[in-house]
Amino acid sequence: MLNESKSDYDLLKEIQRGNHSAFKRLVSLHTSRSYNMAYRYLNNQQDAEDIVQQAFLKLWRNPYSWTPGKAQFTTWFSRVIINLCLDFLKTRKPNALSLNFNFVDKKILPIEKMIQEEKEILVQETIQKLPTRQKTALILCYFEKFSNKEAAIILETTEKGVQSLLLRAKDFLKKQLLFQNDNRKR
Amino acid sequence: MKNNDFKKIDSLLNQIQVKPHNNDLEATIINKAKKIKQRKSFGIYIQLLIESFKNSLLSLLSGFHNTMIISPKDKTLSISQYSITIFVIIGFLGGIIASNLSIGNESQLFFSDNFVTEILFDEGISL
Repeated sequence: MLNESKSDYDLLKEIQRGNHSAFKRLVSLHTSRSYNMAYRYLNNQQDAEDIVQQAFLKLWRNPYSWTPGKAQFTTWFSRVIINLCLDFLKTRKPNALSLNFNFVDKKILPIEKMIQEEKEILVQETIQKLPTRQKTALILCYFEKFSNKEAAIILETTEKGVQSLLLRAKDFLKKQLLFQNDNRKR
Repeated sequence: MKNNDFKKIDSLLNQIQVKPHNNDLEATIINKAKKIKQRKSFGIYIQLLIESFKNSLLSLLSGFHNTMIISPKDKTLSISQYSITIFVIIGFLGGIIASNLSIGNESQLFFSDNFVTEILFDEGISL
C-alpha cells in the first residue's frame, strides 16, 4: 500500500522498479493539470486526452527519462506535455475543423449566455493564434499558475524573458480582440 | 498599454473554461500501462526461453560435431544443423501461437491475435 503523502520523487523511484500502484498514484495526481495544459494548447478534448495518455505511457515505458535533481517532476512533465502538443500541432492538418465547440440550440439560451459563449470562442481562437512561446508562457503562468521561475525552466529562458513573453502575449491579445471588436461594430 | 486594457484581457482570460476530460481517462491510462507491463514481462520470458534454447541447441550441436558428416574445420552450421535449428524455433513459435489460440473462444482470447508479433517487435527480439 502506498503512502498518500509520497512525493513525486518517491513515486518515480517506485515506478522505476516497475511498481504499478505508484504509477496509478502519479496518474491520479497529475492527470487533471496535464490535461488542462494540453487542452489550453490544443483546444480540443479528444486531442488533449490523447496527449496526456501518450505522456504517461511514455513515462511508464521509460521511467528513467526523468533525472532527479535536474528539474522538479511537474516542471519536467509539463515540458513533455508541451513538446507532445507542439509535435501534434505540426502534424495536424492546418485546415482541420475543431469539433470542440458546443453547438447549442441558441433559441433556448438567454442572450447573455450566447454573448458569453461567443466571447469565449473568440478569446480561445485568439490564444491559438499566439506565437508558440508566448502561448506557452501564457498557459503556464496565467492558467496553470506556474511561477515565472518554473516557466523560465520549462521555456529555457530567464524570468525576465518570461515576463517579456507574457507582456507581448497580452499585447497581441489586446490588439487582436480590439481589432475583432472594431470589425464587429462596423 | 493602459492598465484598463490589461484588466479587460485578464477578465476575458478568466472566463475561459476547460471542457472536463472523460471520467475514464485515468483508468484508460492505468489499464494501458498494465498491458504494457504484461507484454514486457512475457517478452522477457520469451527472450530468456529463446536464449536458453539457443544455448542448449548450440551445446547439443557442438556435441554432435564430431559424429556428423561435416568437416571439423568448418565452424559454421551445416545445412542439416541449420534446418534442425529452424525446425525447433518454428515448432516453438507454432506451439505458442497454437496455445494462444486454444486458450479460449474468440471472445475470451487471453492475448490479441498479433500478440506474439507485437512482443517480438516491442522487445526487439531477433531470431
